[in-house]
Amino acid sequence: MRLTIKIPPEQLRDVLPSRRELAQAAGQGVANIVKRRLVERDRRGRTDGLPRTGYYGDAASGITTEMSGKTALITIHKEGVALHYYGGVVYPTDGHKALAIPKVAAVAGKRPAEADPDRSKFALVWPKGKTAGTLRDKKTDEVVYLLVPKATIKADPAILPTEAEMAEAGMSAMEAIL
Amino acid sequence: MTAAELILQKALVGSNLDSSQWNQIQAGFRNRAFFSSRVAEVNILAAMRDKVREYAEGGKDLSKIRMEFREELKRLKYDPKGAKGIHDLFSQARIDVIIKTNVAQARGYMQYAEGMSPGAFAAFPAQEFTRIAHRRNQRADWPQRWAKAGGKTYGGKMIALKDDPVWERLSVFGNPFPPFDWGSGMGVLDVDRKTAIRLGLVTDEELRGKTAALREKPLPDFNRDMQASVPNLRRDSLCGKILKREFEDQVTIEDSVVHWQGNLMQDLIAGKRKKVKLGAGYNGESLSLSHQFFVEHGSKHLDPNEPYEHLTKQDFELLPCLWRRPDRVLPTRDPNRSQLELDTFDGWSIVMVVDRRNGIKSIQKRKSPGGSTI
Repeated sequence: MRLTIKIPPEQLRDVLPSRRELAQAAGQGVANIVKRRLVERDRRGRTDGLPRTGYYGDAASGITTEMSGKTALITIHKEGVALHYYGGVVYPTDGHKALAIPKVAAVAGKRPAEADPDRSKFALVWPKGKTAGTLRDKKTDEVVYLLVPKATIKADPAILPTEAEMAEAGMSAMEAIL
Repeated sequence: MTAAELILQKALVGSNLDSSQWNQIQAGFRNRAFFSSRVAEVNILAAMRDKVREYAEGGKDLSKIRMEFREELKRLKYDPKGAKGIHDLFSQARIDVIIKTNVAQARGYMQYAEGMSPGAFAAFPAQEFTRIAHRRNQRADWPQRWAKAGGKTYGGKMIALKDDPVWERLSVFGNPFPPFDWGSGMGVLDVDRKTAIRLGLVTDEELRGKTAALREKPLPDFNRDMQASVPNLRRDSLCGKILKREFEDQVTIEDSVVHWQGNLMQDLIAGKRKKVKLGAGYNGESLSLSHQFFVEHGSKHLDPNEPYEHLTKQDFELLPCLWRRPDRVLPTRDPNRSQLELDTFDGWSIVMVVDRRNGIKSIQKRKSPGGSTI
């Protein structure tokens, strides 16, 4: 996404902040509104019953504003944020045949290979002709992971402010120092 | 600069200090070092730093990084020696603390530095201390700690100017930026100029003065050389000896002032330093390294028939450790020369041939042969 904020030349005349400082203020204003939105999302919790991980809050802590001349580039350094924003289909990689979706708190945030490194705890159950399988706890028969050939993530543009909101935040920040 | 680059700039400091002892080291020194409580092996630290970098770049999930790190620990023959829980480097708790704390500190510093640029500071001079990310076990005593650090509340919100000393006092790490405690999800949200003035935190005139000062003297480079005065510190005093033992060549002591020397090896390779003298090595002698050496001999091979590789910047950072604590010391045909070898986490060995009369003859790396250690 690229956002251009035009500054009327008369506003730049005879004022103290340089173009670079105006860009710093605008960049910080946009970064702030993005950060607040991610923090709000983190506070909402999740709907799948798994424990909260602070994912969006950690994404908020991973926002950086990089200055290049009078341009500010804002980046969210967190795996998966772009996928949630734009949506998409996730396929297994590294030669795996399925994606493993954790279904119990004990394995949340862990790949099956980490949760059961010697493959002694979980049993693979994949009925013939079915598109999904499970990894079950050998002792309790509880479903620990759901195995699917792909996962579709719906686009959720509400995780970030709209372009208009970001432009307004940038403009307000510049106006504050003019 | 990205958080990953910032992490790579940190000098590897192997030490047996525990976390409470590290907390007594001045924050400025700690921030410039990559260390982990009770980890003296620099090649393990190099592996850790590499994994922290990968996580900071955002390309791999934490589970995959933990699995890879455990594999590297096995390759480096790490032995937890009966240590359990957080004291065991194989444990999820320890790996998560290492990775998350380092990445959070690098990102916290970057957001702080960006917020202290003159334009950003002028528009948003204050910040609110608040919960940014959910944590399963949340500390309940933050308001008390805020008050104890000298912070004031405004309508129940914990707000202070960005340059207020309350931030450093609040942090167990002594930093003015998040995280303020181990694993904490507390952080900061900017407060704008109008609100800061309305709350009486600062006047418009004061703000102009502070912004002008930032214009004149911007925030110093994170990896700059730094110094700390320690009253009555002598090189041969107990405190001086401990500092030298733990930080080795990374610090020098002159007239009661401890100088942190950036990242010695990276500076030497980049030519920012012409010479570096490494203290007592495996044989008790010192060794000089020059930038010119890296230019002229860094990639010269011992034997063209052997599968040697060129060294990376990260490999060169292991040279002080190779000099002091090599995994193997092998004789050569020339009795004045010894071959020192150090295994790296990625399955290679760094091989350095040293001549007793005139220093290093060559440095290469090759696939690790394994074998016994001295």
